[in-house]
Amino acid sequence: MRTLVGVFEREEDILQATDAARRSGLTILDVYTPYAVHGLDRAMALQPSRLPWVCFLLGLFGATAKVWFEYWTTASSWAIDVGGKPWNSLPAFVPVTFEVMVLFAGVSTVIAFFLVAGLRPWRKAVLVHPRVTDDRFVLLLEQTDAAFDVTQVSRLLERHHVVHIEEREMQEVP
Amino acid sequence: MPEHRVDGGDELTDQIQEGPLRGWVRVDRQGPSHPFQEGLELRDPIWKPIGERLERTWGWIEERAQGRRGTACLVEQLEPPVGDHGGQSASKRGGIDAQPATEGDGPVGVSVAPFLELTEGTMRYTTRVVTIAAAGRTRPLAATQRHHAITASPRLGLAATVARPIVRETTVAALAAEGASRDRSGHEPIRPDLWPDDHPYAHRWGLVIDLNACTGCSACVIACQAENNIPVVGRDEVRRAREMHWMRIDRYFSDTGDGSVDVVHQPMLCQHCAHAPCETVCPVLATVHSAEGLNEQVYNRCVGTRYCANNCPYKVRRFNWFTYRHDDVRANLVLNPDVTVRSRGVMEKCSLCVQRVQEAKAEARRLGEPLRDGDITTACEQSCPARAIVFGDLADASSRATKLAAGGRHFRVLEELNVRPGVGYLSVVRHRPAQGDDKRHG
Amino acid sequence: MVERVAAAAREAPWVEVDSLSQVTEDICRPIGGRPTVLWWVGFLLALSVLGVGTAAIGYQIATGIGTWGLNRTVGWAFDITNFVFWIGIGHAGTLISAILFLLRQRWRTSVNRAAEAMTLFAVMCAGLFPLIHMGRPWLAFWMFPYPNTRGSLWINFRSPLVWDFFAISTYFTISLMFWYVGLIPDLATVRDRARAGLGKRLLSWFSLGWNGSYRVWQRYEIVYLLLAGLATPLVVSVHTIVSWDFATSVIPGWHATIFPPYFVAGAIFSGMAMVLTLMIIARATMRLERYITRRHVDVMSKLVIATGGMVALAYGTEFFMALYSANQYEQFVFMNRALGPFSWAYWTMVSCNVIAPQLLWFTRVRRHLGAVFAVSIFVNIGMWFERFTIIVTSLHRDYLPSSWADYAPTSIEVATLAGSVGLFFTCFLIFCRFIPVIAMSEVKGVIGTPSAGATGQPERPPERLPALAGMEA
Repeated sequence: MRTLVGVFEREEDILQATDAARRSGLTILDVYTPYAVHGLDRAMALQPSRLPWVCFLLGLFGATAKVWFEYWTTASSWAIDVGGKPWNSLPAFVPVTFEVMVLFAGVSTVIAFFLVAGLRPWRKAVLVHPRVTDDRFVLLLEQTDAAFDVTQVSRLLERHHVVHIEEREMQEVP
Repeated sequence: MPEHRVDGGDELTDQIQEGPLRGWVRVDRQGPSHPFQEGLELRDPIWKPIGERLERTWGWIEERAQGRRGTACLVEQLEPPVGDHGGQSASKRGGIDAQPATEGDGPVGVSVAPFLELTEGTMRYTTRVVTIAAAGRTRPLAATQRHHAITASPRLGLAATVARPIVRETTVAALAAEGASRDRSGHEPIRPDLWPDDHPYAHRWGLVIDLNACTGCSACVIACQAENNIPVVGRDEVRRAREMHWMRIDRYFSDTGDGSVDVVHQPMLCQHCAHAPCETVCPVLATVHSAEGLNEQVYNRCVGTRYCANNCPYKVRRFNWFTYRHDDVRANLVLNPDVTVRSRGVMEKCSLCVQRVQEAKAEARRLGEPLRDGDITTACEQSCPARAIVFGDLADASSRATKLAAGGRHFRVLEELNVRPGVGYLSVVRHRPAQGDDKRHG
Repeated sequence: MVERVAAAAREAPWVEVDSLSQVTEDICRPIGGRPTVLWWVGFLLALSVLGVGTAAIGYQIATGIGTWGLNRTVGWAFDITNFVFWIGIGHAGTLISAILFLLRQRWRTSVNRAAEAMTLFAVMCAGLFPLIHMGRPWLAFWMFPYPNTRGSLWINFRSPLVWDFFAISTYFTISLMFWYVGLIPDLATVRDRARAGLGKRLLSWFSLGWNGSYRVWQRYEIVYLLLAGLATPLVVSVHTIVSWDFATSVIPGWHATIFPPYFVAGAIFSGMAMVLTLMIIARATMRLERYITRRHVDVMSKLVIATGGMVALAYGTEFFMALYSANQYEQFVFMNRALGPFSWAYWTMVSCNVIAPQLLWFTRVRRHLGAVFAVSIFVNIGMWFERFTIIVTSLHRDYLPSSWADYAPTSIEVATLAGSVGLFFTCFLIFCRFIPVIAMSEVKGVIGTPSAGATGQPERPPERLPALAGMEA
């Protein structure tokens, strides 16, 4: 597909340019920044992530599974008299349950993040601009149809202090 | 040979004279020591090695000895008396068996035969006049119990200044009065519980130890060591407080007020607590409570975190710090085949001779008879010449142990911790009026 | 967005840089080139100390716990003191990374990467000790409940050591993930500057193909927030569980309900001091004075004072409670601590933890880096002695005087402690050599985009487009 790459130097510029592009009805393929610019998700109209649900639900599952396991091993599978403590030592089960809940929640969130974001060790990074991990902000627009007027879009971007505009052919969004 | 009399009551401080000597002499000491320096209050008129600085208290000497350089006097050689008992050659004049006591293999100690005299069929040990002199060397001594004052300075007026209620003494008169009124107040602790006591016991094995009968002879300690394959660790390890005895005899002293000292000997062993603090903290379930009331130590499971020993308020648990050698085939003949030999890194403690319990139960099953009180004797009970130790089923109302436990003299150590020990003690009864608690120290 | 920039304009900048690329340049410079002589000296020193410690540990595992100075009464001393000491140090890293993130403290971005790395290495050092303190460490896997043919014989979930096992492993895992996730964008930055070779291949592997896509950044931010939210209760819970090793026992001096908050405050206190120690050295040796400024040192010193005050309050409370309790065993423990054979450890602890940090009340002291460094060293020493005092004085004289005993460390224990310090610094120096010490993307995030020549102030005010009025930062 044909794309238009706009390179910016400042976060205010990329933020406003993205917002303007979205309001103009342009198709924003992605925005590339060296750090997380707050407000870009609104500017790009991204869907809110469901990762917090993963975190919460798997944490809950971990806690439930663990407390059941503790009860089962201590009171059911092989109940051993330890210091005369009651078979169902629920207060004693709390610390491990809490820790396993946090462990499940954290590990599952990170694994889900890697899966959903497509982050893999063997993935080769395709940079739209060599300095996008350093100090440049890049807006990637798709030239969707013949009505896409490069000149008009370029003027829009120049209003937001774009430092470099380029048309590029690419197979897939990096 | 210069002369010096050694008998009771002498201060030897100024009277050291020349001449080498080996032997034991009697020492008197005076004065209590500061509670925060380990001071010995012992007025035991028994033979003890003496130190260079005799004007110090005995406790100071022993404190210096324990774990650090001692100031015991070691004598280089023995001089036989002038009229020696025939056969002594001139070459032996310099000393009988003149090698100093060695550490490790080899003869230890020295023969004092030349100082003895056989008179009219009795052996007399105090016939000779001896002199004492400092040898100029020091030698660290080993002891399993050091001596401390239980109380802090009473001037502080704190609870800490009250003697710890570890042993109990009473008098004949008080006991009679108590017995008449069946009043055991002061012996019944408050026992709050957070959870219902719903662990049933088929039996509840326990001990009752009569402190009045105990003389501190330590036969039980040795019997336990022999029965349970407890390693002998050697003097250096004992100095580092790593003795392995599962049973120990604690000594508590109190002033009688007339220049003498009362002693209470308290055999201390695993109390087999129903609410054992050690069991709760073992991460791998190496110490658990059996359905017969025994606190069990599973040697094979123990990974050696030592949390159980730290949490034991009685400090009765013993850890295998090294691999204690058992590679001498002949020496291994003394081992009891019914008891595991523990490896390095494993915790051990009194098991109430569980091997004997199991054997008696198996025998009863084989014969098809019920287990009777007295079928099981622990090694300590078996060896006690005073029959001070009684093993029995505390869940059986007719057993001797249960009857003793119901008696007026029965108490448990550190009962206020609510650990519910299975070992109880019978308090000491004296004819003299009981001493004030603030005079007791151990 | 507008409010954010306006807020940045109101607060003086924490980091004195002119541009984003300068941030990249300053922080990546120590990584690419050859290490300095100073680094080599430090590294070889740490490595040799680590070697000594490794030999000591090997000897101890081969021969027995008897090579330490422990005995039938004092079952724990250096081993568990070191364990609690290192775990405590780790907690400050998580405080800076996670808790200060939730509290939106912008200054944390200069130190959070190094602090979190410190946490990881400290937890590694800490985890060493429960392993080697066992009599039979080759059976340590029995602490994990796996099904087996022995019944199955599970573990004792009532034991604080089991709670410890789960807490420390969870803490290490979450800290590692938190640190690594935060590191990915920076690894990408370093990767994109690196020349082809093994280094670049490794960086490609570990940066997971990161290319700055905001679709990923959005999720990244959420994961970061979630992990920070998880790590915060973890800090509190892990050291609470460690304190329960003592608080749930029956030994006077250990059996105290104040231990959880006391230990957590103490952990942050000692960890902050260690962060200060490391940062004061790092800023000088790696020329990061513009990023780790005197203001940072000032703020961290204030945290040291605050947590030090909590610790001092806890000392006083413990003492008062013992006095007021009329429990003779408890009272004796405290008198013994102050006046008995280990009083030298107790008074070292008090002077280092209560008296020395009071100097930090004075602004002049806080702004003098040498003085702050000295105080941080004292606090570290004092906090080690605090754990030593708690463990050894409570154990060596407890209920029955017949079993009172002394304790003295052997050279093996001292070498093991030194070895753990060597391990920590070896790891930290390797970290400094190969990984960006400061979180570049986070620093860039809080400085915005300064124009060349200015320091943090945008050259021209942002255009106030009507569309922006409703946008939030």
